[in-house]
Amino acid sequence: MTHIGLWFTIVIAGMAALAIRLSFIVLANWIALPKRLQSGLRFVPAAVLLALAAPALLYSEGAYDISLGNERLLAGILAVLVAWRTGNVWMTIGVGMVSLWILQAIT
Amino acid sequence: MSRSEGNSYRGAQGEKSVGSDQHRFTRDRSLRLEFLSGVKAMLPALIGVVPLAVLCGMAAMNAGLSAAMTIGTSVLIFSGAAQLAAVELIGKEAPALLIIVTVVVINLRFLMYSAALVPHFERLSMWWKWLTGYLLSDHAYSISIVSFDQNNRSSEEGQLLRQSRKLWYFLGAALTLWGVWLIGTVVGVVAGPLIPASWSLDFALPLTFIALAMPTIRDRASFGAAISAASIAVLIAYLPFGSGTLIAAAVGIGIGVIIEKRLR
Repeated sequence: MTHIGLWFTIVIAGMAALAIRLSFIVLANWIALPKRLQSGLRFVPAAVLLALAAPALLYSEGAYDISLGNERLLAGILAVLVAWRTGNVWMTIGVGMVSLWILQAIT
Repeated sequence: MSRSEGNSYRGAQGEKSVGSDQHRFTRDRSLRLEFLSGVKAMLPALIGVVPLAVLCGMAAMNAGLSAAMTIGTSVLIFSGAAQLAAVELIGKEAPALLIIVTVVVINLRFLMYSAALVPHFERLSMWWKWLTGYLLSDHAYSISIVSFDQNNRSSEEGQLLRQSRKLWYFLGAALTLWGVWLIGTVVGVVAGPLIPASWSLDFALPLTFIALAMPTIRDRASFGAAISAASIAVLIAYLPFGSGTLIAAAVGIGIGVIIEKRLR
């Protein structure tokens, strides 16, 4: 792609991304949100965030790794337990990162 | 979080002289405190955000984008997953349309965020709505919505006043992320190659998502939504451009709704 073509692509993609973000916030007076969708919204954070996180623990570079040799899986499980018990973001990231480093150093 | 401010607020509301200096002072102070608690709530998430921003800067430079374009993607697209996918496609010399559609699909989740924020921001002026829309991100959304849900009790306050407090809380969180995102991108452009991959700092990102998601799992329905979204996301992780995330999240949300209906 040419230099201008790349800029064009980035600007259009950015405008599309902005349109999605603005959609309901700006147009809420004209388009109503279906009731059914509304009741589902409280599940959005848990569903989207864990759908983003889970593959990062179990899947990398085109292959699954479900074994005790998968350091990211073990560290991730520890982090889930910490997040569940403490609800503390710093603790979760701290325990997750440190256990990953330890596991990587051991193996 | 801001319960004490809420009390001082209601006090100011109760006075007859609504436009008085005292009231204005109380309001400005209250909004500044909201902004600061938004900033504070965002800080822990930055551990995961910084490496991703740096990674976005590095990846875009590696794909052959100029420094200005790389920073341009962070300003215009402002979404880690979408930027990384777009950069990867640019590196593969994919057609422009595919790149744009990919960015849209990955960002479709913002439709849900946008809709979820409507009841909190609907009384604000159009200018503020555009600004909040532009600044919307995974972290700003999840941090704000959790706080809004917790602070939704006080019904005596005026709706507009309550919404401007929510606005400033959101702005504190979202602007912090935006600034750090741009700084991180610039760092990635300039000094990215100096960070050794052996630090595995990219792992802080899923950890951040886990830490943010867990507190929203409060009952059987949200647990069902979470566990099914996570399992399906893993099962279809091989789908291209991260489109599996969206499918898995949609199914998880559907399962949550079904469980909730069954239990009622």
